[in-house]
Amino acid sequence: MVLGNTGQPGGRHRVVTGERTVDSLIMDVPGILCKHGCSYMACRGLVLTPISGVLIITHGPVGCAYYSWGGNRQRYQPEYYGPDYYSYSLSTSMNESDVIFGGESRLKQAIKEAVEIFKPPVIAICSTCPIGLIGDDVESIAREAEEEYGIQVLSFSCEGFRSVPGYRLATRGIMDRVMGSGEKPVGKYPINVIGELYNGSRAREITRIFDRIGYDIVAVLMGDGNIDDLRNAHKAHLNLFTSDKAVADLIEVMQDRFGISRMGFNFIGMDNIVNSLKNMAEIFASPELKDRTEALISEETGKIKECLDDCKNQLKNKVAVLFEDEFVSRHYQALLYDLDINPVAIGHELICRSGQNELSFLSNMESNGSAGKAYNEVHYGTDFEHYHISLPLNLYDRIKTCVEVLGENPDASKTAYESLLITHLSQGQVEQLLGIIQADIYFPGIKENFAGISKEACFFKADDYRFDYGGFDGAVRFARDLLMTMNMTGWRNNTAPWKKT
Amino acid sequence: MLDWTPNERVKRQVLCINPLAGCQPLGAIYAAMGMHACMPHSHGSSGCSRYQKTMLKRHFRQSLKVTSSVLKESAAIFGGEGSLQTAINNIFELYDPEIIAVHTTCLSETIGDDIKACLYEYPLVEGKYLIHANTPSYTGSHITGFSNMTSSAIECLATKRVPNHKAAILPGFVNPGDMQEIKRISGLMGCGYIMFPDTCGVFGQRAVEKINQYPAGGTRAADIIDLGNCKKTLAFGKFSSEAAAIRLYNKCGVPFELMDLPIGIEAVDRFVMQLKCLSGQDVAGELDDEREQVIDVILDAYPVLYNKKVALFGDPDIVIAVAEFLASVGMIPQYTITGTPGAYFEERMKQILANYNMDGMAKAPADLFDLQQWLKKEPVDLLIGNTHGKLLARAEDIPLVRVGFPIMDRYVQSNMPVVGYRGAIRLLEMILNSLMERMERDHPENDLVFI
Repeated sequence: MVLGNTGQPGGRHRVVTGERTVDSLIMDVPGILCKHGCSYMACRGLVLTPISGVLIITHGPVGCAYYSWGGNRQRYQPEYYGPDYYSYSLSTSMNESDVIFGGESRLKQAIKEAVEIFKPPVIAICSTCPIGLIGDDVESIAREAEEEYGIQVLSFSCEGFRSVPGYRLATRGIMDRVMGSGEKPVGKYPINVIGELYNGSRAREITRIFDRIGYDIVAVLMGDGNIDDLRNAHKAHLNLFTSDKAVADLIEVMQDRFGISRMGFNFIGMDNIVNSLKNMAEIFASPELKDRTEALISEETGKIKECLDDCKNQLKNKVAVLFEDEFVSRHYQALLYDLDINPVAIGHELICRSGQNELSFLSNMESNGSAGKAYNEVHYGTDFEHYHISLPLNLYDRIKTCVEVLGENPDASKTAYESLLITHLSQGQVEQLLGIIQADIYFPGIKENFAGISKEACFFKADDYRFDYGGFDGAVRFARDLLMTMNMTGWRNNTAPWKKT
Repeated sequence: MLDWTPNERVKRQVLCINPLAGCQPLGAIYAAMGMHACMPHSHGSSGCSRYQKTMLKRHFRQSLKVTSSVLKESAAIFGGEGSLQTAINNIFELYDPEIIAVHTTCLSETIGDDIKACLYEYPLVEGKYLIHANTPSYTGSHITGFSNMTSSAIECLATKRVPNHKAAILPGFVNPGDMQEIKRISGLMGCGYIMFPDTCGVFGQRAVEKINQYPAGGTRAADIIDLGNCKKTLAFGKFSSEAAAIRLYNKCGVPFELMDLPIGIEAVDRFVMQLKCLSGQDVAGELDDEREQVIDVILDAYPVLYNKKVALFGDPDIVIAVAEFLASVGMIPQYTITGTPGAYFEERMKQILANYNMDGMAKAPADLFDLQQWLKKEPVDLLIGNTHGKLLARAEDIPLVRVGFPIMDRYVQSNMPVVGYRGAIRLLEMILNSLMERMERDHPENDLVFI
């Protein structure tokens, strides 16, 4: 690959920002284009929606329930035979008088009606912004409803303005109220899979591989899970977490409370999968697991080798530039590495160090985040070396952040692979850089922030229906989609003939 | 899918299941997109703008820029006015828009921020404008928000000076394709016009050249100011345009004509007759031909259309206009529902049904759970509505024609009109194709013919 002007092909390089003050690290500057969600969004969308068997009632005006209905993560778990409410979105639909006089009676009535219609075993109530302000006592209503209807009613006060991340509220609630209440016997090698960003086909692939090796998946959180399995989650011996930030504190508390050991697990990219599977077998220290793991790895890699090699040939010497946020970038980097492509990653979004969690940043960074501090039991130091934050480029100009090229400090770069990670470039610098790089393919996740992207080059766009590239098959699916992008004939007509110079 | 909906009608007082309408800020953002070089600003927590952005992005398949005040706990206690000031400063400095359109959310409305006072004091540079609309999420729907933002923009900007002999066209909450078609018809009739808001050329553009460059489309600030000098306002849709038209009348004395969206035949006829009055020209031959084509299609296809029952759901203005069109081609708008509250919806639907001697049920506000229960009792032949009806279509096995907002699972939709005579042909094509595909699917194999 071309490494810009750093002059050391193949080495580890990165362009880093120069001096930074704490002021420049404040996370949410009013008036900037931010992509952040809110507490409700994470609580409901990330954690609760994928759990089958829970009926979610959004307490608040109708909007939040409308937008959170049917996200990407909302998929149906066909093998779960309990009640499933994934195609419904319920709201108490507060109006102006409820905001003035309080929405408690409305919530009570809504629970009554929901129980009559859906007869759910578990109800989860998610509060939206106005609730926190008008002060409805959602918790006690939930308790009353539990007694009245004999079902479990969980309440989450995930008002959108709260700086406590919603996934934290939700996972904590589930750990306190759900986990540890089940008595189902588990298999010989019981594990939990906890992590965001996987669903559908990747969940199926994970299940397939673990079944073949002989692990027993006890419970799944933030994936294709269901509430009955989660009740037994404490019986697992190992927590696999596939996400860096969202679950860091959950697995730590689970370790303290239930004594479940933990392991980071990455299901994207061949190297990651192979290493993860081997590490898992190490943790259980069972020779039969090791043998079966080895057998599975050689069989699965053998199956896709021919196809991958073919793709590699076609993609030889191509240069890829990633304009994605850090989490997606990491995935694409691993996948591209499998195809022998060394990507240039231009990061623009929040970057967290692996294992670190957003809240620790928040409590450190936020000048007024008192609630954040109250919730924060596990403290992480802020790693200023690897801490990047989403700010518009010209704001960086304004605060006089200089960009310099560090060529001779290989250890400073903690990027997974030998690639170029560039953050916080000005518009001009991006254009300059792109001129040098001459990329063949762009991954345009945050494209709107960079006008310098050439209209001529092709950009990668995953099909909405088969977006997931996890698992052994994922590498092939990704290669196929990459080839689709490169071979797409539409790029030819990108520029009108009268505009060509 | 949707298995828990009981067959027996359930009485609900408060619970809303599968809502049909978003909250006001969604419409406010869309209205702001219809102004040139405008940055919509959401005065609320960060999640609000993200949700609405995602919704619009999925419909238009184009990412858009919305800034947020990012209110946190401290704002809930001390008020968010300070954040708003900082935000306005930052936006002008970083993104350099001509207009900032501030709308509120349920958070800032419940806190009680006085954004009007806050923005009134802001020292504006010449050529820059601030617009603010109160859009609390707990009243109305995204249509109300759209209406609030357009009327606020008129209130803030429109000024009466020298008459410009143009028509002010308020197109309502419709796609850019529809706005384009309304403009084309007005052009054909020789009528000068200012359309506001106007999202043609805002979506569907590829990467811009410079970082702070705004898309070429959108009503320019000068044109919004000029609205006050127009001869007459043509306001489409009572729910999305009436408030703005009244505001323009009160402020600048521009008389207005409130009409249904020009969908189908009669509504377009009314629109064309208005244009004829305004410009004093004869109807263009091109429009005449287009109308002939629609009539021809209807005459050809009426055996397929006649007495087919349809359930319609979506935004009120579109539902009313489409329902009238369906009635006028012999189909029965059996169930019509909308998520936007307002007594006018049911009144107008009653009028339309009475006019064509048909029976049907109309309800506002209603949700898709209501509709499913009605369908379980008495099914229909066709659903017409937005993407959210997809689950319903599958569960009840009824074909769905996608019209309205949001349509997240089909391409090109937002570029194509449903208004005007061309839109009528397109609607007819979609409806006929769905009906015939369904008919052929269910037809006995030995009876299948080519014609």
